[in-house]
Amino acid sequence: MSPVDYYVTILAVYMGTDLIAAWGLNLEFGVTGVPNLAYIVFFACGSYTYAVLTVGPASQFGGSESYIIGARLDPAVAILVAMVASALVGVIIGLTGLRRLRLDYQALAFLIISFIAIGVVGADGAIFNGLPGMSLIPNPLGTGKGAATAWEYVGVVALGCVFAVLLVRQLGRGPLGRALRAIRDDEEAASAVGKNVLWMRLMTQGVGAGLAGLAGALLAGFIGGWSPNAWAYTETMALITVVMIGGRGSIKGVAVGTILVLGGFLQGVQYLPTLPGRPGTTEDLGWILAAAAAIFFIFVRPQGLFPERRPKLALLPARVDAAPVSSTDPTAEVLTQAAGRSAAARTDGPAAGAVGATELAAHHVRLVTRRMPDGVDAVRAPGGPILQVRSLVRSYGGVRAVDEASFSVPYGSIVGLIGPNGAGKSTALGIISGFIKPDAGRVELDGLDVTRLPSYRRARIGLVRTFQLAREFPRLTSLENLLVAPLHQRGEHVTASIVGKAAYGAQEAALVDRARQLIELFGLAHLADAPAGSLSGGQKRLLELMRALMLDPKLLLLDEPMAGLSPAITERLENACLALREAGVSVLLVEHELGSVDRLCDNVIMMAQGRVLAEGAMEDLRRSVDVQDAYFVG
Amino acid sequence: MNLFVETLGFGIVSGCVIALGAVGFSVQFGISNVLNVAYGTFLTLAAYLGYLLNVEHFNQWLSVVVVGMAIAVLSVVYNRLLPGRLMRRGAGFVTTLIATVWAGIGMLYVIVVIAGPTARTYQVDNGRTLTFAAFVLTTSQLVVIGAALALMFAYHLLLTQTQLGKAMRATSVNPVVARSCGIPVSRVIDAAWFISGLLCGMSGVVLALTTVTFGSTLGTTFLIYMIAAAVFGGIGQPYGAMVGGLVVGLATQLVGAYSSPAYEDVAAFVILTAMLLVRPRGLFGTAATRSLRLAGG
Amino acid sequence: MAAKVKRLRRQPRLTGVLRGSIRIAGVAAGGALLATVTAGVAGAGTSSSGQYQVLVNAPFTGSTASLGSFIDLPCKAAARVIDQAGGVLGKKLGCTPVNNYGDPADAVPALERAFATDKTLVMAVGLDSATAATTAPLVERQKLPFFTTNGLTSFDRQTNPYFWRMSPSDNQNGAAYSAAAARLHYKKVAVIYANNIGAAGNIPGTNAAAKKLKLTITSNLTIPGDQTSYSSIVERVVAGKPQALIFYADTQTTATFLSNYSQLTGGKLPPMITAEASIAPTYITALQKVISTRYIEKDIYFVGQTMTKSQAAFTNFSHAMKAIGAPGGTINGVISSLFTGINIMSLAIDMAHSTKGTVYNADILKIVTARKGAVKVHTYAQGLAALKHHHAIQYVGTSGAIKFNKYHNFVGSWGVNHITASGTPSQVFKLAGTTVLADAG
Repeated sequence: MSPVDYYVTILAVYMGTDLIAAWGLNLEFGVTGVPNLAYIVFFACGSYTYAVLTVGPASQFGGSESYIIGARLDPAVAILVAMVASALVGVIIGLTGLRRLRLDYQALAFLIISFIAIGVVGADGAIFNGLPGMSLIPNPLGTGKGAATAWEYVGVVALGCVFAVLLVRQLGRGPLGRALRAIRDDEEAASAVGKNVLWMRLMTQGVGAGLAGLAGALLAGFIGGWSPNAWAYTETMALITVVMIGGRGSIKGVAVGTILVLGGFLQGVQYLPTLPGRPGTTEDLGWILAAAAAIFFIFVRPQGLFPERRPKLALLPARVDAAPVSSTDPTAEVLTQAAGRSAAARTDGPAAGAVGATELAAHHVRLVTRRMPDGVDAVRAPGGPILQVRSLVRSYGGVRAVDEASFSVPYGSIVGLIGPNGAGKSTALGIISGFIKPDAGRVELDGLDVTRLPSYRRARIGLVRTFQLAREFPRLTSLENLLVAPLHQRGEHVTASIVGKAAYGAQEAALVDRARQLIELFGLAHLADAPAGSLSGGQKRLLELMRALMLDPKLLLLDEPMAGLSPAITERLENACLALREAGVSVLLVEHELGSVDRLCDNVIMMAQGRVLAEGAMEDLRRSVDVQDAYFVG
Repeated sequence: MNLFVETLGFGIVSGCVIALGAVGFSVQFGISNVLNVAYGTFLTLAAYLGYLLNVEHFNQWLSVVVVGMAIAVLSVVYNRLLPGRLMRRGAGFVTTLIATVWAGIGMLYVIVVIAGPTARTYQVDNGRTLTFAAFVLTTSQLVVIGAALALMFAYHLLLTQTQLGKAMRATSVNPVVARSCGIPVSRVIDAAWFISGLLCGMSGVVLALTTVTFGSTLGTTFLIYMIAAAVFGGIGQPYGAMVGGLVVGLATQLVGAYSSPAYEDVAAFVILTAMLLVRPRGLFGTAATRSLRLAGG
Repeated sequence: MAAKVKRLRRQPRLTGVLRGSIRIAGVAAGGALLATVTAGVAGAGTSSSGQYQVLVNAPFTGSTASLGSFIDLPCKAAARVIDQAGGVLGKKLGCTPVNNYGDPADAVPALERAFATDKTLVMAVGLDSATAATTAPLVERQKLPFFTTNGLTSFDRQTNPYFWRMSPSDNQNGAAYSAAAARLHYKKVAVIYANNIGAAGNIPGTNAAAKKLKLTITSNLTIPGDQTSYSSIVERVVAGKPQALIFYADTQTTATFLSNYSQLTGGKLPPMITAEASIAPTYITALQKVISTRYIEKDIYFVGQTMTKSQAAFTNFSHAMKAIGAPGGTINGVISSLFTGINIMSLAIDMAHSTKGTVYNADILKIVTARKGAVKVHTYAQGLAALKHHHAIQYVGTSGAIKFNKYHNFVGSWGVNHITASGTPSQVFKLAGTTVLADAG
């Protein structure tokens, strides 16, 4: 085996291990949006775990080296354990309070964790032999010295790459990939549509860390040594640069990025002509060039070489028959007709796209009925409360934003929640939907105490909110925004996602159909495949409402949906609300546009300074002196 | 007991040195929402510029101010060229972060190519060593403490008493609304980068005066303390960053005095991170700090 | 206003065009890069100033670059004396610096690239502690003899035939510091090591030897590098009232620590026993700015290799260093051991008439071992001349006769030196290797 062979095999092993790690980081950061600036720590975790499991006990060095374990395990076992250990560390870090931080704080906290980890390993010689680090780490393929071994190793790393790429590809596509991207685009909105953000984040952090661990074990086994000098935070920065230059969320992009940034640069620099003077000047200049190149890339291709592409689902042929609704369901026919009609109406004139109340009602009767297969009538008689709020209290630094507020929303009604700015309406809504913890009080949905349920679980039992500023998932298409929401998606399970379409394809097709019908009902079919971020403010509002509807809500909490909308879209939204009421969906509407409140609400609750000030029909409230004072004076 | 009081004194000195830089970092992060890793390179640059003056026997305190001004100007120019421009294009938080990482690396290696990798040593005039109660401090350390406190106070006055300060606070809460209220946001941002550059430059020279020797790694080493201190205090909260800096100083010195010194930096980071987990918005952070979409753009 | 609108409108198209051209440029650049890589693999040479090259493996960039900045000097100096004597097998010797980035992972491809692209490499030096664990096996695989400066204890019983270590391992050095303290009749010492790769490895040896030599350690501290202040640590050390300090840190940490120390004690510092290896070009100038020159020259004991054993060898070395413009503070044991190593390997090549490691490696031991009838030589020129007359030779370097154990590790004595402000060392006393090694346990 010639030196050139060695060089080529080494490059291949480095590229391969970097690629495994970069794909793992891509799943974690590019797809799910976890700003893991400590990623190299998990790589190191794999290296160290592999090292201490495969080397002999430290006592063989007569006290001059010290590290834990030293078990002389079989390398194959050690690689697996290294992967699992890294994954576990990833999950544990994911479980800390870190996830509750603002995203930029998270990034910084990760960065600091990177320093803590390297500091501890460097200062505590007893764990991994401190700064000198681990040496004499056995090669997994034995100590053979022929060409075959080095090339075989490339084969092993290639297998690792195949494993990594299959894993990240399967996890990053289909409904699971969609949900992960939803979390990346807006974590709160994702939990508002019932996604278990914590579990999904932990899953990707575990998988990401596990892949880093695999890469670390493979590299350490190959080079035979590992020390704190090999995993400075800059290595994470290099990997993040790879993901950014390649294209966040793009598997192909990351591959190209790895070759370009890590391979091209690190090796390319060494081919620059050697400059006179101090050795290293060439490399120093190389760093300057690399920096210039990276910044140049970020400027001209901020989305990376291969921007993430989202599937164009609107173009797929319709598959109504695939819907898990019995073909004799009479509403199915109505729906198709309605879809046709509203599509036709769109071209006619200013009323274009207005939601037909009957169509939407029919749609929801079907949806709600489907949820109750035993024939229980979902549309109960209005009167009993679907939502009961008792004595809610929430203070911010001594100010009681919500102060002993109690009210209820009867079944099948639209209840308005009004009040001046700072009255506590949005806070109350946040508490009801589970985004804000109350200091005291109780929230009951349909008689069930949900005060302690996390927001995503509330969404799953039909308590669904929208946000004051529409929070779409900007980099998903409009249609995908709707598809994120439905409950019980088989494709969101890790195993199903890995198996692929065979496990979830039929259900997915039915959901796509349903989403397309809905988007057509709301007159946004022409934007179905557009990135949601490109929609207008009003369109985003509609999208958010549709997304909420995909969850088959019992109670919708709408946070100032009419604010700043054009009259045409306001009308659409109002019609939708009325249609929903007809379908038996209750609505709690926080709103400043009193005209809309007038037109829609059966009952209105007036809040001021955190308390419920008055309750009744809008016209009565208008006459109340208290209300006028609160609104216009206080 | 004596050792304890002395250690507190040392901790306050180190803390003030870190705090200067941490406040500067906090100002730029708070107002333009850029995590500027190149800040570390500016610290290093300041130390080298200060060294050039030191070799010429320039007064050490005057050189702190002169270098501070130079870095302030550079900082404004840098922001206009890179982070500010990226932010205007709607680049996301991590994108901008990575751009500043590379900018920092690029500029650092320009310094290395010119200055070489060997350490430089300042000729420091520490003045007399003064002892009161059990505190043992040199006059120059007292100057550092005094200057840090004075600068903090000045910044406090700027934020609360001046038109610029109000505009800066408004911009930090919501630049879009600030702009629509008629605040010249780009000038406010320039001002913020000027102030942070000033603090950065002064901190770089003070750091080098304190450590006596420094090399090209000075900036990256201390930047991470400053970041930790600034985050701990709540980004954009100068008093928070100040307290964060003191926590770093006291933690390192106390661990150095009473426990295993090898862990003193780790201990500081762990304390700051733990505090952050207890108070996720930072010590002085308020609910009003804007949430952001990190991945967007 | 109108102009503004116009400009805004034009922008997207402009960026479109820009992007198009960028894409083309990107593809072109990528292709060019690929071409250079392949061309490079195919054998485009590196910096060649000689027909035979010495691979100098050290960190030339990154945070430990200050270490690497002077490791190429002994190679240049040796190449100079060798060329002046007529070269190796009559050919010029040159130096090929190969960056190891101070990173055991990044060092590997850089080294393999050098092997793949440079056919003229005949020997290697360097391979410091930070990277030796991963790079030493690669050099072994190339069957390239190398003299290493690493102090890793994991090489204490290594069996790689091409590995030669003339400097003690960290563990042994650690014991030597305690032995030096005992020899200077100190009973109470403070042991302070910086937490860096060169220093931390010394701790077990120092402690073991201190125990055997009944030294009282007043404080035993590992301090982190690059701190704003070590004042509280200094107070702790002062409180123990040590008679001397055993101290090992990089230049920066040393200067900050000593500055804090003299600040708090009004300039009173106990004598310091430190590693000769910590002397770097700026070491003395840095210290001069924080403590008195008198203290540097009289109260610091540098433990390292015996330096003036062979005056001829030392003169040869120091003159060559001066001739290549080496800065003060580089005339020390680490540097001289690399200089000596290159001389020995070159003589072995001459003796074996082959630049193949497999052939000449066996002669290295012969050249340094005292044998009957062997001519003692102190310089390359003397050695070459003796070889030409078909004499057996024994090379005696700056540290005297050279001994290796069966693991090709150092067995020798330590020199405890003072150093002048201009960087000239002078030996105070010698520590016998055998006693120190016994103390190290």
